[in-house]
Amino acid sequence: MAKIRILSNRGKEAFIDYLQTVRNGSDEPPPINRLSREPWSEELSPVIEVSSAPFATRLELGGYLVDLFETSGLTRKELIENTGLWSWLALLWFDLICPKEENGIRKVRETARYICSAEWRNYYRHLIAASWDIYHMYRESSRLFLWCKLHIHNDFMEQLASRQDIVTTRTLIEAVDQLYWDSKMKRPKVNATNRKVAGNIRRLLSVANQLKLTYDLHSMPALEIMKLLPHEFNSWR
Amino acid sequence: MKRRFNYTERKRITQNRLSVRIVRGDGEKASFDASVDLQDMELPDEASVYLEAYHQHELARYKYGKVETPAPEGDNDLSDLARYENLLFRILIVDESGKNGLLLASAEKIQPVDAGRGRLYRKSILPVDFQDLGRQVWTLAYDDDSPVLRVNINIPNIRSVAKTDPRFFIHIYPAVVREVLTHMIFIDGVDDPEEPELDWHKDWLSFAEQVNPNINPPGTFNRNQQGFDSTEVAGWIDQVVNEFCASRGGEWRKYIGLEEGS
Repeated sequence: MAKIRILSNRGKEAFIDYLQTVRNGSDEPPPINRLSREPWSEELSPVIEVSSAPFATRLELGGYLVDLFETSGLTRKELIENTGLWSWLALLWFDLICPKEENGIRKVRETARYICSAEWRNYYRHLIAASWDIYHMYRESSRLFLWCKLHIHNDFMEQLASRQDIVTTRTLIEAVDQLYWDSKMKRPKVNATNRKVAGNIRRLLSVANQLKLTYDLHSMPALEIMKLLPHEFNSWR
Repeated sequence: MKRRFNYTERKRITQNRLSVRIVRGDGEKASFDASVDLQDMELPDEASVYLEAYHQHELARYKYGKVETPAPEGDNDLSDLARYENLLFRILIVDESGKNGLLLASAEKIQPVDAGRGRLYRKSILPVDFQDLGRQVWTLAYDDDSPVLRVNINIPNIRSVAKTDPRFFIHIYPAVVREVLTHMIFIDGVDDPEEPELDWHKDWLSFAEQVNPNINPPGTFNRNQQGFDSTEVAGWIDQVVNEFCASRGGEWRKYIGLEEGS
């Protein structure tokens, strides 16, 4: 167990530098010990201890974090803007969100996946913050976004969470879940994100944008939204 | 640019029919008051009224009675939203008599008044927002379609610098103007400069005309129209930026003074 800390701006700078050294081929371990003291970071108040146990999926991680923070008394507002906290957690779990590949090399992706930004265009790309946030909003209905391993930012997350009006329409997200989640296989249906296949997720977003001009989707049950979809979605229903 | 057809004769609510006032309580608490005027719009009395407060991916929805007598049905608490700055409101009139909620009328992007500060959150055509941008000094975001200048909050004294330092103005705003106009024409597209589809396009075309009144605009801003000349448009943008800089003599002189003094 480790006490959660908040990376300061200097701490974030050092983390960014570390990411760059790894991109340049260094195999240094993440500097969690060095950056877990002042002035690189400060302890979160109230004190919260976090598990170092591995999570198999981002869904597990999201659920764990939601439970953890719900009992802490911290509000969603306090958490969502605390980019230093999410960045520190990313550093703590760096081996999980940026694992070494078979050749022993880490593939460091875009910085926003590790260093949390308050700006939504980048916030939803943060592997830890977005797992917590999407799970907090949608619980089990967030499984399309979060079913994958911790280092994966999947296409559902990219397509749905990047669009403000979509990700805030609960009933639409529930409809998406019912359309594309394969309950037997416990994973998204095959080809749901394949843009060459009729009724894929991008087409759904395009149709949803048209429906929003006519219907108040917020007040419609997910089932009713699904009934409004054209024939190309029949095979997904 | 995508064209939108209004097959269901959905009505547009003009912004003067809704006013919203943010009321700050103790600590982080905040709520809002709203005044809704739907008279003479020929909407069914029994249709439901909803108000939505939104910013980025945050949204809170409030039931506001019926068209006949719009009134709050709850306490209009905004505390669950992460941020009140740059918060916008929309109003929706929904016919719930059938199976599906049919949208009868709506208005978007209503700017609230902050009761504590006695001013609008955003009045300008380019609201400024301070956020953690990593190692970027500034960026432009198109929240709710319209441009917002994001400045990195991690830069020391940046709020004061952005307001008063001529170096900030001289270095950043010309590039911002260029980028916004380029985005408007080359990414969004403008079909009709007299009646642009997006409100912010109208504001920025009007701004361009104000700073550049003696220059004829290009023959067309429509990329899909014959006669669209990207070189001509790029030249026009350049002229707007030039005239914009020329009109800011005060900032320029202060900037030169600072550089000479340093």
